[in-house]
Amino acid sequence: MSLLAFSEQVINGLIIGVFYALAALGLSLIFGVLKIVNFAHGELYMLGGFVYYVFASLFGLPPVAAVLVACVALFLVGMAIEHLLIDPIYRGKVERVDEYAIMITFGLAILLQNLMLSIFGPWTKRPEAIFRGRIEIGELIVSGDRLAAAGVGIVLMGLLLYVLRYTWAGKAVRAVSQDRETAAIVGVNAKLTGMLAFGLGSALAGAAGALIGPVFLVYPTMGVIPVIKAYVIVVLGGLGSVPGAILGALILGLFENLATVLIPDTTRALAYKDAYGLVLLIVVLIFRPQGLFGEKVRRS
Amino acid sequence: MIGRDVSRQAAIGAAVLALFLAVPLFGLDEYWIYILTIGFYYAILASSWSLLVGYVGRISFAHVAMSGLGAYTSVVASGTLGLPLLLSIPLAGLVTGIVGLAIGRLCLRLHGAYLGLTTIAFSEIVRIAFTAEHELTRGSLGLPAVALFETTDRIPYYYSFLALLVTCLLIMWLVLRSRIGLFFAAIREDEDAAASLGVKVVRWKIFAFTFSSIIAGIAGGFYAHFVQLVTPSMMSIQEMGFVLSMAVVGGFQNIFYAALGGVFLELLLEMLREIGEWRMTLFAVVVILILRYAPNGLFGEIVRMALQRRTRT
Amino acid sequence: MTAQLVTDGVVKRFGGLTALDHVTFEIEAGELVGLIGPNGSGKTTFLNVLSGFYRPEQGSVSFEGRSIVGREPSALATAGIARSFQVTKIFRRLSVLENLLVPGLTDWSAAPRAAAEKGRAILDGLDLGRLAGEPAANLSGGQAKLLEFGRIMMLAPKLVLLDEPFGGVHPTLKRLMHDTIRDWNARGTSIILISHDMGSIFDLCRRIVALQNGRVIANGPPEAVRSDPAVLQAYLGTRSARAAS
Ligand SMILES: Nc1ncnc2c1ncn2[C@@H]1O[C@H](COP(=O)(O)OP(=O)(O)OP(=O)(O)O)[C@@H](O)[C@H]1O
Ligand SMILES: [Mg+2]
Repeated sequence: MSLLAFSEQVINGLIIGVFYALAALGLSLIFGVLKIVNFAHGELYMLGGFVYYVFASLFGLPPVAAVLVACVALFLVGMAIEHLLIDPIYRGKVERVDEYAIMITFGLAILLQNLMLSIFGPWTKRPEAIFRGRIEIGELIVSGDRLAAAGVGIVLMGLLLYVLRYTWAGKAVRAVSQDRETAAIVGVNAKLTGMLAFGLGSALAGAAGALIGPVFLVYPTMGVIPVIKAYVIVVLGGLGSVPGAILGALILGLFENLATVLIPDTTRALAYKDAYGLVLLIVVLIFRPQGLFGEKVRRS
Repeated sequence: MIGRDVSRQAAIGAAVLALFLAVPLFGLDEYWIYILTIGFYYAILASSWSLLVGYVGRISFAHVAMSGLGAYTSVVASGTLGLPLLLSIPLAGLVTGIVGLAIGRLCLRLHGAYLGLTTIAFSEIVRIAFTAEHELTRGSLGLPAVALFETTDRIPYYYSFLALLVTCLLIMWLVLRSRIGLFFAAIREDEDAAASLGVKVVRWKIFAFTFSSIIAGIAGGFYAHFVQLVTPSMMSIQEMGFVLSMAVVGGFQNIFYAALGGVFLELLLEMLREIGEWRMTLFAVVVILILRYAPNGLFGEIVRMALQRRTRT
Repeated sequence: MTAQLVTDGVVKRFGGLTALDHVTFEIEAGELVGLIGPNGSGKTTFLNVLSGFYRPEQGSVSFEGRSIVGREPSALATAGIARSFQVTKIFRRLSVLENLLVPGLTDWSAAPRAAAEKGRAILDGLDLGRLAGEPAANLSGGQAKLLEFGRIMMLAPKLVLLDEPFGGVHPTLKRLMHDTIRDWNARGTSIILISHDMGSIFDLCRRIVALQNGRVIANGPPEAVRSDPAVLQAYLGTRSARAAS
């Protein structure tokens, strides 16, 4: 393989990694605070794509504004979901917590998928891109829509990391992640923090969906594969770890893109593209459930 | 007290079975016979899934993948290798049993969401592999399967699926009412406590996985020769969502309620054809409401209310 | 006479923390030994090693002359080692009687009917008879601890490991527990009792082992351990000791 093709794959891998990271970060944030895996995360991502499509293509909003609308809308949707379906767990209203959390978010995924299918039909939509054209670095050509979307994604991630590290809300999120009860004792409103975390996590998923919509198209099942990637990433990085999620995303993006060029039988390599990460997921979960970088969890 | 409940439940069960046995005699449309037969297939999947989730407290998203694996096994064994169906379908159960055993063994220490993620990953890998291996499976075109009976009449299929469903339920019920069922419950409630009291946690968890996988595999094998085509979509996450909905709506803490949920939802799916995709939207709303407000499921609640009224009068 | 259970140089680490640091210990058949030590001294960890929940990194553990390192907790329960948990672990959605049937039926030769009868008798003895059909979730904290006792009795073990059985228990109930423990012991069952309740420990045990930072700092009859300077230091001087280090 030529150096050019190789660096093209590396750049593509990194760009995809940014989107993966955006989705995975939200998943990790939600797990950190609420200790649940959101099985509807892919559908929140899909919802972001649709909100973006409606505002950018149907209402003609400028693309960047439409991305922001998608973020805000998904933030509100996330808060509502937490309030209606997740919070009851913490108020002792649910008998079988583990199974409930998995099944309720899985049910939500089915709901959102079919709702969008009912409203918009199964056809793919291609909303306005943030930036058309392409960028040439020497002989290397990168399509502009991807690069611009990745740029916005990086800005959003930076913003989130800033919020988590330096604001009061971020401190609350970190406090509740570590120990919900102690956080509550020292005056953190755990309920509100939970809503905030779910809202932020959803907004990130929505942002990823909105940004990637113009590139990979918008349709009701668009979230199924990417969310599985997001699971792989958070598992690689250790569930609940934010830096782990970013690192995991870059690893996966690179791994997939390189695996496709490194495996000689190209049609096979492509057909199995989505399976590499899954194998990785199983191996990590079975042999290192705390993630590649995480610390071993305590036995209760 | 418990004894009386059991005999009442047995009476209800017998009545429901008699109803299903009699249905074709009322001259029901061929089409509905066909739909009910598919409903029986889903009833087997929903109930064997609920055995794992409701009784042992282990979630699996790989259940329809097992069914699909069983279907492909039987189709390839009967088609390519020319085995009679009488051998190929049990072979399907054997293969899924072995795979279930292996997964159960690998996932021993995982529970909750981690187990959910691992089984989703496994399920997707199987689906991707069966789509990718064109030479063997013809990819998403699917493989044609030999028919179970040499007739186009729906009735033999109806009764054989009903018989299969009843057999599976009976076997599961026998296992669950034995001490194994108590061990399952102990593991579900507190694994460490169960182990400290001599329950062979490892053995029973693997057993549960294997057992429910065998049932799914045999059901899948049967189903393939009924619809006479297997495709990878049989193993999709959406299909898993459908089975989960059935178990939850019927009541996933009881294999019989889950089975009824399977038949019920499949019927409803057909009856509501006019509203198109809104059907699944509606089902999903119902699933969420039931999980939140009536975790015993529709049939669990109905039976509970009926029993309560009886005891009051 | 050789000891029933012997550990030699047992080490258990959690990451950088050494929870058990070369613990050498033995208990004779029929003995009742108290295990004391400040919070975090490794008592529960030691119990987890003895009951097969943790595998030690170093050292040996043998029961009735055979090594039990690496054996499953369930196998050890069947071999005669039963335990309770510091944080009570009852089967909440099973009935009180079913809670006893679980250990009662792990022996495949036991008939369900006989196990149920035995279970009812045990529940009566623990004053839980009228709650037999209730879901265990309805029990009070103290009753739940008694239920754990009942489950242990179903196993008819040779060695019982009790982790803090008197925590949050009313004196009347505590007396019932004391009687039960004495009764077990009188019938030849050996017992290791962990407790912060010094009254109970001194009341019941004829030998006490004290742990601190995962190390055995004292081992002997109650009077000797009570006045042992290392023990006094561990209990009274933890703050000053920590400040010094
Ligand atoms: N699973 C675990 N992972 C990490 N550290 C652990 C684990 N279990 C125990 N520890 C640590 O090992 C040390 C000993 O703990 P252990 O529970 O044995 O103490 P203990 O003597 O039972 O205390 P207490 O009287 O409070 O019950 C403590 O520092 C504890 O934090
Ligand atoms: Mg302790």
